[in-house]
Amino acid sequence: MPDQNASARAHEGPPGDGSPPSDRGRVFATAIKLAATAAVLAGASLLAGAATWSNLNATVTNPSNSFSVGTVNLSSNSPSSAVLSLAGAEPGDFSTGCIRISYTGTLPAELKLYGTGAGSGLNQYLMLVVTRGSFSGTPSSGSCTGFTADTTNYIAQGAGVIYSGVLAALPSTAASALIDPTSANPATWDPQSTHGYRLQVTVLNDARAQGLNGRATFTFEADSI
Amino acid sequence: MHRLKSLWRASPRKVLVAMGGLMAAAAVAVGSGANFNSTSANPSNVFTAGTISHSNSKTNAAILTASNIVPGNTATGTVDIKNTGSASGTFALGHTVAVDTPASPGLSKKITMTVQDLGDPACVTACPAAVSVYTGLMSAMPVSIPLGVSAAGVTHRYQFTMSFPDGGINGADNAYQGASTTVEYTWSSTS
Repeated sequence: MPDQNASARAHEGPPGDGSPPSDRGRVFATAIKLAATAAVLAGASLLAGAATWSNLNATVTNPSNSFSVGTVNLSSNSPSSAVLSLAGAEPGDFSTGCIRISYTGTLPAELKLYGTGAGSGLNQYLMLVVTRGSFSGTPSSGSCTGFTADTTNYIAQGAGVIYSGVLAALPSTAASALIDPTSANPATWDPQSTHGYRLQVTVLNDARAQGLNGRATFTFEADSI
Repeated sequence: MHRLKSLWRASPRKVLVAMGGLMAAAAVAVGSGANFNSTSANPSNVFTAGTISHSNSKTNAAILTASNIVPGNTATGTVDIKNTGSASGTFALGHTVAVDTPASPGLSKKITMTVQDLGDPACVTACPAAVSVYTGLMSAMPVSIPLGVSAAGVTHRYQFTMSFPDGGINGADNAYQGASTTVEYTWSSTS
Protein backbone atom coordinates (compact mmCIF):
# COMPACT_ATOMS: atom_id res chain seq x y z
CA MET A 1 0.00 0.00 0.00
CA PRO A 2 1.71 3.29 -1.01
CA ASP A 3 2.24 5.90 1.61
CA GLN A 4 -0.15 8.57 0.41
CA ASN A 5 1.16 11.10 2.93
CA ALA A 6 4.75 10.89 1.74
CA SER A 7 4.33 13.69 -0.78
CA ALA A 8 2.78 15.98 1.79
CA ARG A 9 5.60 15.28 4.18
CA ALA A 10 8.22 16.03 1.62
CA HIS A 11 6.96 19.59 1.47
CA GLU A 12 7.24 19.96 5.24
CA GLY A 13 11.03 19.44 5.64
CA PRO A 14 13.13 16.76 7.27
CA PRO A 15 11.01 14.58 9.52
CA GLY A 16 11.71 13.98 13.16
CA ASP A 17 13.99 16.99 13.77
CA GLY A 18 11.78 18.45 16.46
CA SER A 19 11.35 21.85 14.86
CA PRO A 20 7.92 23.22 14.13
CA PRO A 21 6.70 21.59 10.87
CA SER A 22 5.08 24.79 9.66
CA ASP A 23 8.35 26.85 9.52
CA ARG A 24 10.36 24.11 7.82
CA GLY A 25 7.57 23.51 5.36
CA ARG A 26 7.44 27.14 4.32
CA VAL A 27 11.20 27.30 3.76
CA PHE A 28 11.25 24.16 1.60
CA ALA A 29 8.13 25.25 -0.23
CA THR A 30 9.76 28.57 -1.02
CA ALA A 31 12.89 26.84 -2.25
CA ILE A 32 10.86 24.57 -4.50
CA LYS A 33 8.88 27.48 -5.90
CA LEU A 34 12.09 29.35 -6.69
CA ALA A 35 13.54 26.30 -8.43
CA ALA A 36 10.36 25.81 -10.43
CA THR A 37 10.31 29.46 -11.44
CA ALA A 38 13.93 29.25 -12.54
CA ALA A 39 13.18 26.13 -14.58
CA VAL A 40 10.22 27.76 -16.29
CA LEU A 41 12.25 30.86 -17.11
CA ALA A 42 15.08 28.73 -18.47
CA GLY A 43 12.67 26.76 -20.63
CA ALA A 44 11.04 29.90 -21.93
CA SER A 45 14.44 31.31 -22.83
CA LEU A 46 15.29 28.18 -24.78
CA LEU A 47 12.01 28.29 -26.65
CA ALA A 48 12.39 31.96 -27.46
CA GLY A 49 15.91 31.35 -28.68
CA ALA A 50 14.79 28.53 -30.96
CA ALA A 51 12.03 30.66 -32.46
CA THR A 52 14.38 33.46 -33.39
CA TRP A 53 17.17 31.20 -34.71
CA SER A 54 16.68 31.57 -38.43
CA ASN A 55 18.52 32.47 -41.61
CA LEU A 56 18.19 35.68 -43.51
CA ASN A 57 16.28 35.13 -46.70
CA ALA A 58 14.44 36.85 -49.51
CA THR A 59 12.05 35.75 -52.24
CA VAL A 60 10.65 37.21 -55.42
CA THR A 61 8.20 35.70 -57.84
CA ASN A 62 7.42 35.58 -61.52
CA PRO A 63 3.71 34.78 -61.77
CA SER A 64 1.43 34.09 -64.69
CA ASN A 65 3.78 32.18 -66.92
CA SER A 66 1.07 30.85 -69.19
CA PHE A 67 0.87 28.79 -72.31
CA SER A 68 -2.23 28.16 -74.34
CA VAL A 69 -2.82 25.98 -77.34
CA GLY A 70 -4.66 27.31 -80.35
CA THR A 71 -7.72 25.70 -81.86
CA VAL A 72 -8.80 24.48 -85.29
CA ASN A 73 -12.54 24.20 -85.68
CA LEU A 74 -14.72 23.77 -88.76
CA SER A 75 -18.43 23.80 -88.97
CA SER A 76 -20.78 23.01 -91.82
CA ASN A 77 -24.38 23.85 -92.53
CA SER A 78 -24.80 20.26 -93.69
CA PRO A 79 -22.99 18.16 -91.12
CA SER A 80 -23.17 14.42 -91.59
CA SER A 81 -25.90 14.59 -94.16
CA ALA A 82 -25.97 13.76 -97.88
CA VAL A 83 -26.08 16.65 -100.32
CA LEU A 84 -26.13 14.58 -103.51
CA SER A 85 -28.47 11.87 -104.63
CA LEU A 86 -29.17 9.98 -107.87
CA ALA A 87 -31.58 7.15 -108.38
CA GLY A 88 -32.22 5.28 -111.64
CA ALA A 89 -29.94 7.74 -113.33
CA GLU A 90 -29.17 7.83 -117.03
CA PRO A 91 -26.19 9.33 -118.85
CA GLY A 92 -26.27 13.10 -118.43
CA ASP A 93 -28.29 13.05 -115.26
CA PHE A 94 -26.75 15.06 -112.49
CA SER A 95 -27.18 16.01 -108.86
CA THR A 96 -26.06 19.27 -107.29
CA GLY A 97 -25.66 20.19 -103.67
CA CYS A 98 -23.91 22.94 -101.77
CA ILE A 99 -22.16 23.16 -98.44
CA ARG A 100 -21.17 26.21 -96.45
CA ILE A 101 -17.99 25.74 -94.45
CA SER A 102 -17.19 28.10 -91.58
CA TYR A 103 -13.99 28.32 -89.62
CA THR A 104 -14.05 29.17 -85.92
CA GLY A 105 -10.55 28.17 -84.87
CA THR A 106 -7.98 30.56 -83.44
CA LEU A 107 -5.10 29.37 -85.60
CA PRO A 108 -4.58 30.19 -89.24
CA ALA A 109 -5.31 27.07 -91.22
CA GLU A 110 -5.63 25.60 -94.66
CA LEU A 111 -8.59 23.62 -95.88
CA LYS A 112 -8.40 20.18 -97.43
CA LEU A 113 -11.01 18.17 -99.31
CA TYR A 114 -10.97 14.45 -99.83
CA GLY A 115 -13.49 11.70 -100.21
CA THR A 116 -13.94 8.00 -99.81
CA GLY A 117 -16.12 5.88 -102.05
CA ALA A 118 -18.02 2.66 -101.87
CA GLY A 119 -20.51 0.75 -103.97
CA SER A 120 -20.25 -1.54 -106.97
CA GLY A 121 -18.23 0.82 -109.16
CA LEU A 122 -20.43 3.63 -110.38
CA ASN A 123 -18.10 6.26 -108.91
CA GLN A 124 -15.71 5.83 -111.80
CA TYR A 125 -18.52 6.82 -114.21
CA LEU A 126 -19.60 9.87 -112.28
CA MET A 127 -18.06 13.20 -113.19
CA LEU A 128 -17.50 15.39 -110.14
CA VAL A 129 -17.08 19.16 -110.28
CA VAL A 130 -16.35 21.10 -107.10
CA THR A 131 -16.77 24.85 -107.31
CA ARG A 132 -15.67 27.30 -104.66
CA GLY A 133 -17.76 30.37 -103.96
CA SER A 134 -19.74 32.24 -101.37
CA PHE A 135 -23.28 32.50 -100.10
CA SER A 136 -25.52 35.44 -99.69
CA GLY A 137 -27.73 34.80 -96.72
CA THR A 138 -27.92 31.60 -94.77
CA PRO A 139 -28.44 28.53 -96.93
CA SER A 140 -30.37 25.55 -95.72
CA SER A 141 -28.62 22.21 -95.61
CA GLY A 142 -27.51 21.12 -99.07
CA SER A 143 -29.16 24.08 -100.77
CA CYS A 144 -27.35 26.15 -103.38
CA THR A 145 -29.70 29.10 -103.04
CA GLY A 146 -27.62 32.25 -102.87
CA PHE A 147 -24.43 30.52 -104.00
CA THR A 148 -22.07 32.53 -106.22
CA ALA A 149 -18.93 30.96 -107.63
CA ASP A 150 -15.59 32.66 -107.22
CA THR A 151 -14.51 34.52 -110.31
CA THR A 152 -11.01 33.09 -110.18
CA ASN A 153 -10.34 30.28 -112.65
CA TYR A 154 -8.22 28.27 -110.28
CA ILE A 155 -7.45 25.18 -112.37
CA ALA A 156 -8.45 26.32 -115.85
CA GLN A 157 -11.79 24.53 -115.59
CA GLY A 158 -13.99 27.54 -115.14
CA ALA A 159 -14.71 30.20 -112.58
CA GLY A 160 -14.29 28.92 -109.05
CA VAL A 161 -13.73 25.28 -110.03
CA ILE A 162 -11.20 23.55 -107.80
CA TYR A 163 -11.79 19.96 -108.96
CA SER A 164 -13.07 18.41 -112.13
CA GLY A 165 -12.70 14.70 -112.63
CA VAL A 166 -14.33 11.37 -112.00
CA LEU A 167 -15.55 10.84 -108.48
CA ALA A 168 -13.40 7.76 -108.04
CA ALA A 169 -10.27 9.84 -108.65
CA LEU A 170 -10.92 12.31 -105.88
CA PRO A 171 -8.10 12.01 -103.34
CA SER A 172 -9.16 9.73 -100.54
CA THR A 173 -6.80 10.69 -97.71
CA ALA A 174 -5.77 13.82 -95.88
CA ALA A 175 -2.23 13.32 -97.03
CA SER A 176 -3.22 13.42 -100.69
CA ALA A 177 -6.19 15.77 -100.34
CA LEU A 178 -7.06 18.73 -102.50
CA ILE A 179 -5.84 21.96 -101.00
CA ASP A 180 -8.30 24.81 -101.11
CA PRO A 181 -8.32 26.25 -103.67
CA THR A 182 -5.05 24.90 -105.07
CA SER A 183 -1.95 23.37 -103.55
CA ALA A 184 0.15 25.97 -105.35
CA ASN A 185 -1.72 28.85 -103.75
CA PRO A 186 -3.52 27.62 -100.68
CA ALA A 187 -5.90 29.98 -99.00
CA THR A 188 -5.33 30.87 -95.37
CA TRP A 189 -8.40 30.36 -93.28
CA ASP A 190 -8.56 32.84 -90.45
CA PRO A 191 -11.15 32.94 -87.70
CA GLN A 192 -14.61 33.65 -89.10
CA SER A 193 -13.65 32.64 -92.65
CA THR A 194 -16.58 31.20 -94.56
CA HIS A 195 -16.80 29.76 -98.05
CA GLY A 196 -19.31 27.82 -100.04
CA TYR A 197 -18.70 24.72 -102.13
CA ARG A 198 -20.93 23.42 -104.83
CA LEU A 199 -20.64 19.74 -105.65
CA GLN A 200 -22.13 18.31 -108.79
CA VAL A 201 -21.97 14.74 -110.09
CA THR A 202 -23.01 13.83 -113.62
CA VAL A 203 -23.46 10.35 -115.01
CA LEU A 204 -21.01 9.78 -117.84
CA ASN A 205 -22.20 8.34 -121.12
CA ASP A 206 -20.61 4.95 -120.70
CA ALA A 207 -22.51 1.71 -121.03
CA ARG A 208 -20.34 0.08 -118.40
CA ALA A 209 -22.10 2.21 -115.78
CA GLN A 210 -25.36 0.30 -116.26
CA GLY A 211 -26.64 -1.33 -113.10
CA LEU A 212 -23.88 0.00 -110.91
CA ASN A 213 -24.24 1.95 -107.73
CA GLY A 214 -21.95 4.12 -105.73
CA ARG A 215 -21.62 6.07 -102.54
CA ALA A 216 -19.22 8.79 -101.45
CA THR A 217 -18.32 10.62 -98.30
CA PHE A 218 -16.78 14.06 -98.67
CA THR A 219 -14.54 15.35 -95.94
CA PHE A 220 -13.45 18.92 -95.38
CA GLU A 221 -10.50 19.17 -93.03
CA ALA A 222 -8.73 22.20 -91.63
CA ASP A 223 -5.10 21.92 -90.62
CA SER A 224 -3.23 24.58 -88.75
CA ILE A 225 -0.37 26.09 -90.68
CA MET B 1 29.69 21.50 12.10
CA HIS B 2 27.45 19.88 14.68
CA ARG B 3 26.57 23.32 15.98
CA LEU B 4 25.73 24.54 12.55
CA LYS B 5 23.37 21.61 12.09
CA SER B 6 21.78 22.32 15.39
CA LEU B 7 21.46 25.97 14.50
CA TRP B 8 19.90 25.04 11.11
CA ARG B 9 17.39 22.86 12.84
CA ALA B 10 16.60 25.57 15.35
CA SER B 11 16.48 28.51 12.99
CA PRO B 12 17.24 28.12 9.25
CA ARG B 13 16.62 31.80 8.69
CA LYS B 14 19.41 32.80 11.04
CA VAL B 15 21.81 30.49 9.20
CA LEU B 16 20.89 32.03 5.85
CA VAL B 17 21.18 35.57 7.19
CA ALA B 18 24.57 34.78 8.67
CA MET B 19 25.83 33.29 5.35
CA GLY B 20 24.60 36.35 3.48
CA GLY B 21 26.50 38.57 5.90
CA LEU B 22 29.68 36.55 5.33
CA MET B 23 29.34 36.89 1.53
CA ALA B 24 28.85 40.63 1.85
CA ALA B 25 31.92 40.87 4.02
CA ALA B 26 33.95 38.92 1.49
CA ALA B 27 32.79 41.27 -1.24
CA VAL B 28 33.83 44.29 0.79
CA ALA B 29 37.22 42.71 1.38
CA VAL B 30 37.77 42.23 -2.36
CA GLY B 31 36.61 45.74 -3.10
CA SER B 32 39.05 47.23 -0.70
CA GLY B 33 42.11 45.29 -1.94
CA ALA B 34 43.78 48.04 -3.99
CA ASN B 35 46.93 47.47 -6.08
CA PHE B 36 48.71 48.87 -9.13
CA ASN B 37 47.24 47.98 -12.50
CA SER B 38 47.25 48.91 -16.13
CA THR B 39 44.53 48.57 -18.76
CA SER B 40 44.24 48.99 -22.49
CA ALA B 41 41.09 49.03 -24.56
CA ASN B 42 40.06 47.94 -28.06
CA PRO B 43 36.96 49.97 -28.65
CA SER B 44 34.61 50.19 -31.58
CA ASN B 45 34.39 46.52 -32.33
CA VAL B 46 31.35 46.82 -34.62
CA PHE B 47 29.30 43.91 -35.75
CA THR B 48 26.85 44.49 -38.59
CA ALA B 49 24.46 41.87 -39.91
CA GLY B 50 24.71 41.23 -43.63
CA THR B 51 21.71 41.73 -45.88
CA ILE B 52 20.12 39.14 -48.12
CA SER B 53 18.20 40.44 -51.06
CA HIS B 54 18.09 40.01 -54.79
CA SER B 55 16.63 41.77 -57.74
CA ASN B 56 14.51 40.19 -60.43
CA SER B 57 14.45 41.81 -63.85
CA LYS B 58 10.84 40.72 -64.25
CA THR B 59 9.52 41.05 -60.72
CA ASN B 60 5.87 40.12 -60.48
CA ALA B 61 5.75 39.57 -64.22
CA ALA B 62 5.89 36.48 -66.38
CA ILE B 63 9.21 35.23 -67.67
CA LEU B 64 7.55 33.92 -70.80
CA THR B 65 4.11 33.43 -72.19
CA ALA B 66 2.93 31.85 -75.39
CA SER B 67 -0.57 31.76 -76.77
CA ASN B 68 -2.18 30.02 -79.69
CA ILE B 69 0.65 27.55 -79.84
CA VAL B 70 0.63 24.48 -82.05
CA PRO B 71 2.60 21.24 -81.89
CA GLY B 72 6.23 21.92 -82.66
CA ASN B 73 6.21 25.45 -81.28
CA THR B 74 8.80 26.72 -78.82
CA ALA B 75 8.98 29.91 -76.79
CA THR B 76 11.87 31.41 -74.86
CA GLY B 77 12.15 33.96 -72.11
CA THR B 78 14.94 35.14 -69.83
CA VAL B 79 15.16 36.70 -66.39
CA ASP B 80 18.14 38.21 -64.57
CA ILE B 81 18.54 37.43 -60.88
CA LYS B 82 21.08 39.60 -59.06
CA ASN B 83 22.29 39.21 -55.50
CA THR B 84 21.80 42.76 -54.25
CA GLY B 85 22.54 41.88 -50.64
CA SER B 86 25.82 42.45 -48.85
CA ALA B 87 26.41 38.77 -48.23
CA SER B 88 26.61 35.65 -50.31
CA GLY B 89 23.36 33.84 -50.71
CA THR B 90 22.28 30.33 -51.51
CA PHE B 91 19.74 30.59 -54.30
CA ALA B 92 16.94 28.26 -55.30
CA LEU B 93 14.21 28.17 -57.93
CA GLY B 94 10.75 27.07 -56.91
CA HIS B 95 7.34 27.04 -58.54
CA THR B 96 3.69 26.54 -57.89
CA VAL B 97 1.76 23.57 -59.18
CA ALA B 98 0.79 24.34 -62.76
CA VAL B 99 -2.88 25.04 -63.28
CA ASP B 100 -4.11 23.13 -66.34
CA THR B 101 -7.30 24.00 -68.15
CA PRO B 102 -8.80 21.54 -68.72
CA ALA B 103 -7.25 19.40 -66.02
CA SER B 104 -7.16 16.41 -68.35
CA PRO B 105 -5.13 15.59 -70.35
CA GLY B 106 -3.22 18.50 -68.81
CA LEU B 107 -1.05 20.70 -70.97
CA SER B 108 1.69 20.87 -68.32
CA LYS B 109 2.07 17.11 -68.70
CA LYS B 110 2.69 17.54 -72.42
CA ILE B 111 4.95 20.52 -72.87
CA THR B 112 8.58 20.45 -71.85
CA MET B 113 10.54 23.12 -70.05
CA THR B 114 14.26 23.76 -70.20
CA VAL B 115 15.91 26.12 -67.73
CA GLN B 116 19.51 27.14 -68.21
CA ASP B 117 21.82 29.34 -66.18
CA LEU B 118 23.53 31.51 -68.78
CA GLY B 119 25.74 33.19 -66.21
CA ASP B 120 26.51 36.88 -65.95
CA PRO B 121 24.91 38.71 -68.89
CA ALA B 122 27.69 41.30 -68.71
CA CYS B 123 30.35 38.70 -69.38
CA VAL B 124 32.00 39.18 -72.76
CA THR B 125 35.19 37.13 -72.65
CA ALA B 126 36.06 33.72 -71.25
CA CYS B 127 32.53 33.31 -70.08
CA PRO B 128 31.59 30.03 -68.46
CA ALA B 129 29.36 27.66 -70.37
CA ALA B 130 25.66 27.62 -69.71
CA VAL B 131 24.58 25.29 -66.95
CA SER B 132 21.48 23.15 -67.23
CA VAL B 133 19.13 23.75 -64.34
CA TYR B 134 16.21 21.61 -65.49
CA THR B 135 15.04 19.74 -68.56
CA GLY B 136 11.83 17.77 -68.60
CA LEU B 137 8.09 17.94 -68.49
CA MET B 138 6.76 21.16 -67.06
CA SER B 139 4.67 19.19 -64.59
CA ALA B 140 7.65 17.18 -63.36
CA MET B 141 9.87 20.09 -62.33
CA PRO B 142 11.06 19.65 -58.73
CA VAL B 143 9.40 21.90 -56.21
CA SER B 144 12.75 23.50 -55.42
CA ILE B 145 15.91 23.41 -57.50
CA PRO B 146 19.15 24.50 -55.82
CA LEU B 147 21.04 27.07 -57.88
CA GLY B 148 24.16 27.28 -55.74
CA VAL B 149 25.82 30.14 -53.94
CA SER B 150 25.96 33.56 -55.52
CA ALA B 151 28.30 36.24 -54.19
CA ALA B 152 27.10 39.74 -53.45
CA GLY B 153 26.65 41.78 -56.59
CA VAL B 154 26.66 38.81 -58.96
CA THR B 155 23.97 38.45 -61.62
CA HIS B 156 22.78 35.25 -63.26
CA ARG B 157 20.64 35.17 -66.36
CA TYR B 158 18.23 32.26 -66.56
CA GLN B 159 16.68 31.19 -69.83
CA PHE B 160 13.36 29.35 -69.90
CA THR B 161 12.40 27.49 -73.06
CA MET B 162 8.97 25.93 -73.53
CA SER B 163 8.41 23.29 -76.20
CA PHE B 164 5.17 21.74 -77.38
CA PRO B 165 6.22 18.39 -78.88
CA ASP B 166 4.65 17.43 -82.17
CA GLY B 167 2.77 14.20 -81.63
CA GLY B 168 2.34 13.50 -85.33
CA ILE B 169 -0.01 13.99 -88.25
CA ASN B 170 -3.76 13.61 -88.54
CA GLY B 171 -4.55 15.54 -85.41
CA ALA B 172 -2.50 13.43 -83.03
CA ASP B 173 -2.45 16.32 -80.56
CA ASN B 174 -6.07 17.35 -81.00
CA ALA B 175 -6.73 16.54 -77.35
CA TYR B 176 -4.75 19.64 -76.43
CA GLN B 177 -6.63 22.06 -78.66
CA GLY B 178 -7.61 25.09 -76.64
CA ALA B 179 -5.77 23.86 -73.55
CA SER B 180 -3.79 26.20 -71.33
CA THR B 181 -1.52 26.04 -68.32
CA THR B 182 -0.18 28.64 -65.92
CA VAL B 183 2.64 28.47 -63.40
CA GLU B 184 4.40 30.85 -61.02
CA TYR B 185 8.14 30.73 -60.43
CA THR B 186 9.74 31.83 -57.16
CA TRP B 187 13.35 32.75 -56.54
CA SER B 188 14.68 32.54 -53.00
CA SER B 189 17.99 33.37 -51.44
CA THR B 190 19.13 32.34 -47.99
CA SER B 191 22.19 33.29 -46.01
